[in-house]
Amino acid sequence: MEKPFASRDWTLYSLVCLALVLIVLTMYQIDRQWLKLSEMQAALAEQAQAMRELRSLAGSGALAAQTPNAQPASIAPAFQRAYVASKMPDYAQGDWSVEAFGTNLKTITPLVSTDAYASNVQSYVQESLISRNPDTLAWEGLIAKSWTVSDDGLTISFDLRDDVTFSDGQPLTADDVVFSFNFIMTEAIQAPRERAYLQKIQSVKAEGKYRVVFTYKEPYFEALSLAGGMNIMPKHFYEPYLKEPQKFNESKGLLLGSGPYKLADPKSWTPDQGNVELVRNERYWGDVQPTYNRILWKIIQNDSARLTTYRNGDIDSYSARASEYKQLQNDAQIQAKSQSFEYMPPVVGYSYIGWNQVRAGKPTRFADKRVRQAMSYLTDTSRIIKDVFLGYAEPAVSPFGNASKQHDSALQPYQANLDKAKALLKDAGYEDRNKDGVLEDKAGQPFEFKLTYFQANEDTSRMVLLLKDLYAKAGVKLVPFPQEWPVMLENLDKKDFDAITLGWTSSIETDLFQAFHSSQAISKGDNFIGYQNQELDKLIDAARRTVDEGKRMPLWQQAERILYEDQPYTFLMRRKSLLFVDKRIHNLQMTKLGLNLGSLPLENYVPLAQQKYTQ
Amino acid sequence: MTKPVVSRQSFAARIWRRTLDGVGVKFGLAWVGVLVLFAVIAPFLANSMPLLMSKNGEITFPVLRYLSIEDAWILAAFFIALAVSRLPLQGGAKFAIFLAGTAVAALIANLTVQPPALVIYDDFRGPEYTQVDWKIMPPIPYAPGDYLRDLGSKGLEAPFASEGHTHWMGTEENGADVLSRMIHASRIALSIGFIATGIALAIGIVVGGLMGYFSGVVDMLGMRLVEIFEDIPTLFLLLTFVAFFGRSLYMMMVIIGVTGWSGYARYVRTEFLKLRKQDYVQAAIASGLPLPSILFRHMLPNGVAPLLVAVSFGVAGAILSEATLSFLGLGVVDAPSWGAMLDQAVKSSTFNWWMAVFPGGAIFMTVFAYNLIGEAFRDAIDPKLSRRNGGES
Repeated sequence: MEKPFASRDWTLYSLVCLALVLIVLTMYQIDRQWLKLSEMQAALAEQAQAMRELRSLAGSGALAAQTPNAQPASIAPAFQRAYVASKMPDYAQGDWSVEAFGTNLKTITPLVSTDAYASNVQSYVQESLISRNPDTLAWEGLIAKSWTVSDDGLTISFDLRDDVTFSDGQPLTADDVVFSFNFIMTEAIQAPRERAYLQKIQSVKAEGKYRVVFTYKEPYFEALSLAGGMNIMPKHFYEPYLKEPQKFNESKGLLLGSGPYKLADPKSWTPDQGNVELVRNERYWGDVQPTYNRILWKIIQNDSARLTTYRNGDIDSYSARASEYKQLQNDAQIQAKSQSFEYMPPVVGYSYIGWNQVRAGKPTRFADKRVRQAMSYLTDTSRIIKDVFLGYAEPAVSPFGNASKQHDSALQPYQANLDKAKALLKDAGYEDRNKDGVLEDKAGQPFEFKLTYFQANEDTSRMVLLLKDLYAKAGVKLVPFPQEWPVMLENLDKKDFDAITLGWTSSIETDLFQAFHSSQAISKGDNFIGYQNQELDKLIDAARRTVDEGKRMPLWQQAERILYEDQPYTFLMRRKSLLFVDKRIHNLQMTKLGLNLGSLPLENYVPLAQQKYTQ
Repeated sequence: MTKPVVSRQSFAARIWRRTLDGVGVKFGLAWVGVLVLFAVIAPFLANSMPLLMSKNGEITFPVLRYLSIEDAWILAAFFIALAVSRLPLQGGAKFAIFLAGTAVAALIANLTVQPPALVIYDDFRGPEYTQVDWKIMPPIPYAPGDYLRDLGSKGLEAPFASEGHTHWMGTEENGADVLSRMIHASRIALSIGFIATGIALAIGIVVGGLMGYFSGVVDMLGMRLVEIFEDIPTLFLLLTFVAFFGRSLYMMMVIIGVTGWSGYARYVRTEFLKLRKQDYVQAAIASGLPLPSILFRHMLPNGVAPLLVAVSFGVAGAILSEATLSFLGLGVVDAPSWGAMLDQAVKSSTFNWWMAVFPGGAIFMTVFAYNLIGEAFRDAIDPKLSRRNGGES
């Protein structure tokens, strides 16, 4: 039976139809709003571009003096290289720089962050008074115009440029420099690493608006780079956190500075966003405006995925593992789109296994020097380099590179020696008492330890398995203990591990203080293995006090000999950089600091025809 | 008039016969049987040490000396299961004897088996094991953890491509034999499937049984609990646990088990809701039988059938979970696992086909086999699906 259509039904249907029509109309309206909005955004971007051009024109003096030949003279030395790049025929601004990080970042707040990834991000956002010239390795003024060092080396005064502003438009003055120092020296702020160095400075005073004076307590060999290399933190932005230091210590993305790039919102970045994205600082004060519109880091933990992403052109460079480098050299697709670089960077860091000597207040088995030496004899570095890194690495003897003046060339890397290792372990009281193949100490505890390492790195995983087999030959049981990066940093801070394999980045002259001085075996200090040696402390202190290079180097070499004898770390190797960079990135050059990819002020650019990202 | 035919077979036997009545399920059972066999005799099938050797007239069994506690226990459990299945006893009694037997075996293995804590595989190719009168090696003379360091194995070599040693399925990234790892990995796949599902089943039956029997408020609260557990994303929970508590196979089993019981609880609940007003249940209650007896002795055997279907799918799911986790590189370090091997199929932009075909094939076949068994069960149990239902004798 059919139901007749009642008038009530008609009303219902027409109401439903009306609602539908209204919804469609609203959608259309909203769509129009979006279009309008993106139009406005584009217009704004254009204006910003115009402003930028105007500013760089003004900066290069073209407005005042119409003589183009006079331009280079007004460019500060730190910007000379970038300026030269900007005069190349195919130079163009725009496009993005897209790189990949292999781990999740815990935080990018300066001082609180501890890893090299975060400091890489910060280097685009915050600036220091001076910077190092990649060609001569000499210091050049960045924010500082000039500086003078007193005769006794204890006082350094910097004259600042008066045209520097932070990315939010506030001018950068001597007050900000003084504030940065005081901020770091505040006990409640979690910056033990920086504080360990800066405590050499007695005071930082502003003399006028653009002059700041650093006074040291005692002579220090890196006095200039310490004072000049300190990142300037804007006072107006960070000062409120002095009242709530906990909020600062736990923050994830409080980052503001005077650098060429900035976070779109200097307070809101969180690790769960995954990517880190910096946008151009439209107010950048520098003599040469940065080239890229954005700097983007994607988080891609898996090595293979990173390579695929590079292959698809979604990231600009790929640092190849040794095992794939040869294959990729023969890979037509990769070769067609890449420039490849194989080099040993002058400031390459080293990897090591750190033996934790103190755990929960008690000395561990690695507190015994003989045990550590035995472990070094068991660690067949040349085998690791041959099997895992296919020869693209060199053995490390100490924190000092083989080419460094700090290195004593008489020292040779520990050669694998099973008998020596066994003898040392026996001497230290380790024997296989219950005939199960594992050594036991006098209390009957088996020699078994967990080696903590970063899980996503395949080469490290392979190395750990190799080490496991190597150590087994002496009756030492290694238990692989892979961890996530943030969890690993947490354990490092808590000193909760048996042994750990990691790497240190290094600089032109490596200071041993941070990693090996007894005073740094504090909570959250970088001597996380709890290594203490009075004699080494004295040498480190003496070397740091010695400004004269001729007298300082022998002290470092003496310190190196102690490290060599003590083996607080088993030093593994320095790895070559095997880098593929997308062809659209131009002006890649090798400098004394390594490849200039991403070095600041930016020298790389993408010619207009090859630009990919238009925003 | 049709004459009612009284079946002389028990319900279980009838179901079992009907289940076996198909090609797919036979294949599934055969595959699982092969896996079980491989898992049990893995140390004798693929290992670096000789099975038997004679040195200066003295005959030794090196492989036995290196047998781990788990190896010994699995072997014992297998033979106890074989022996018990021959006994003319009730199913429950058989199961009890099996449990008791394996528990005793575990105890004995723990006390007596003391393998060397460290195995140096290079030694088995050293003079101690090569200068002998004669020796019998396992069919695959490589242990899963033997990375052939002394032979200079390069890793990721295609089948038969290595020089000086034969690998039927090639080598994985660290240089170990893939076939050996495949065989040993069947243990992880089987054990995680059975144990995780066992845990889920135990929890599911108890919770579901109580819900169905008591109904009312208990049922309402229980269903909310079930819903809560259904909302837990197992994979993400596993990822979190791995990050904070390290990697452990047992932890994986427990987590998969503890989060996966809700489906079983639902099945048991519906069955029990149906059964609770039946005469024999009422009779049992009236006789004053204790609750566990009513639930598990009287009601469960009549409500267990649909559960069997769910279980076989559950086992397949648990195997997949482990494979997924291992594929993501979060499995147990150094332990052979199909998922972890599959992860190596695409390494350094090269496609290593043997790392995709063999482990991938094994995962596929195992999950497929369990699904076939599960489907056959369902067809046999579900009266609506069974075409031969009415006239069946």
